[in-house]
Formats: sequence, C-alpha cells, structure tokens
Amino acid sequence: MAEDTGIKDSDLKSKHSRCKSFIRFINNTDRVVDVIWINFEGQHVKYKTLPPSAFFDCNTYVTHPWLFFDSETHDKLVVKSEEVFRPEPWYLQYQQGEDLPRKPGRTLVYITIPVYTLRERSLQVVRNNLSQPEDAFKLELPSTLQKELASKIKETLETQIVAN
Amino acid sequence: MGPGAMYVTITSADGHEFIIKRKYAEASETFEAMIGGPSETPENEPLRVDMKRYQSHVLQTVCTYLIYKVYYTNSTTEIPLFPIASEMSLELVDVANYLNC
Repeated sequence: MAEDTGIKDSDLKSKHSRCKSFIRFINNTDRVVDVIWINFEGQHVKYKTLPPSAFFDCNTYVTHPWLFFDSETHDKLVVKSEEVFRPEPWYLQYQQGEDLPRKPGRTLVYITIPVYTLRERSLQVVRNNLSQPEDAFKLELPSTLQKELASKIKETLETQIVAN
Repeated sequence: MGPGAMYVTITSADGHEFIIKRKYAEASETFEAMIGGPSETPENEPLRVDMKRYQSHVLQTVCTYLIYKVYYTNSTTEIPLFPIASEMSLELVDVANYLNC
C-alpha cells in the first residue's frame, strides 16, 4: 500500500497518464529498498518496500518519475546510474514495423547502488557509527560537514520512525 | 614527464609516495586542478602533488578509491560498495572534502 511521506520535491512530478509503461522493478542490492513514486503534486509516495533481490511488477506511465532509497539509511540508489527513473512507452522495446503483442512484456528495471563519492561514502560510515544528530558536532570536522552529518543522522532516524 | 606526464606522484606526511596514472588522479577535481594548470615542473621530471597534510594510510585508500571510481563510472557491471574501515572514516571525510571526490 502506498504511504504519503509528506516530502515535496518541486522539480519533479507526474504530469499525465496518457501512455502506459509496464515495469518490473528489481532490487539488485543487498539492502531493503523503498521504491518511491512522485505524484502529481510532487510529493514522494512510498509505493513499495523491496527486500534484497526481490522484485515487483508495476503498471506506470510515461512522465511518472520514480526514486529509490535505502529503507533504513535513506541513502540514494539508482537505475542505470540515474537517481530518477522515467518510464518509457511500453511499445519502445519492439522494433518499428513489428506486430505489437497482445500482452506486452515488462521492462526490467534494476535498482543498484551508485558510485558514491568518497565524501558521501565516508560520511555514510561515520553516520552509521553515531546515534544522535548532536553527536556530529562533537567530531573534529568543519562545521559544514558537521551540519551535513547531523542532517543525515536525523534523516535516518526519521526514516526509521516512519517505518515503525 | 612534466605537464604531459602519464603518472602523478602523491607525497604523504610520513614520507610515502604513491604513483598513479594521471587519468585516475584526475577523478578528483582538486587533483585535476593541481596537475592540469600551468606547471613549473621541468619536462624531464614526473608530476608531483604535495599531500603532506595526510598520512599514507589515508592516501592509499584515496588512490584505491580513485581507481574504483574511474573503473565503475558508466560501467555496466555490478558496482560493489567501496569498503571503508570505521576507524579511518573521519580522516577520509576530511581528505575527500578537500579533494572533491
């Protein structure tokens, strides 16, 4: 069941539902993944939570954006190195002039980890060893990094509260 | 050698030197700026980058990361998570922030 996370992203939203796209989202990581649909108001809607290696079939539409996050840490995940997955028309997988099948096949969409920057990756490791946002300010780091780290810890805690 | 060199030598605080291919060093925006600009390095000398703020164990991980980044960016193979030991993570945050990589 979809849950409204209440988080808005004004740059991305579903625009219309004119052209269908048949997708199989596959979690190709060893993490639990939240699959997020961005609705017509630009709100993030948690559509599905996928265990490692699991998949689910989804009938979506062209112009409907999707995002993917680690369910526990909220680390961003990607499809083909892109953070936003934008479905393509279902008929694009077939050659021009070819008869379209009555029951189209699904496009396989593999969710993977990205090549995190060293900065992001090392912040993740530091974050994993801290329990409260205020712990970040006890570390010998520039204040901008302390704030960023505190924000990441807060995000992880909020993700866990929503999950529970 | 010099500005057109294929390799870059990175020097650590504890006197170690890491020699990596220029294309890997350039995966860091800071290194790219350091070695890409006008150079006073004589033609017959290798390119050198002074990283004497950082210990060798940190720079070793940085070099490994730069190779990982170049190898896996735009790769179709499965990307492994870059491993980082907890005890080194703070130092790596600092150097990664400086190197912008």
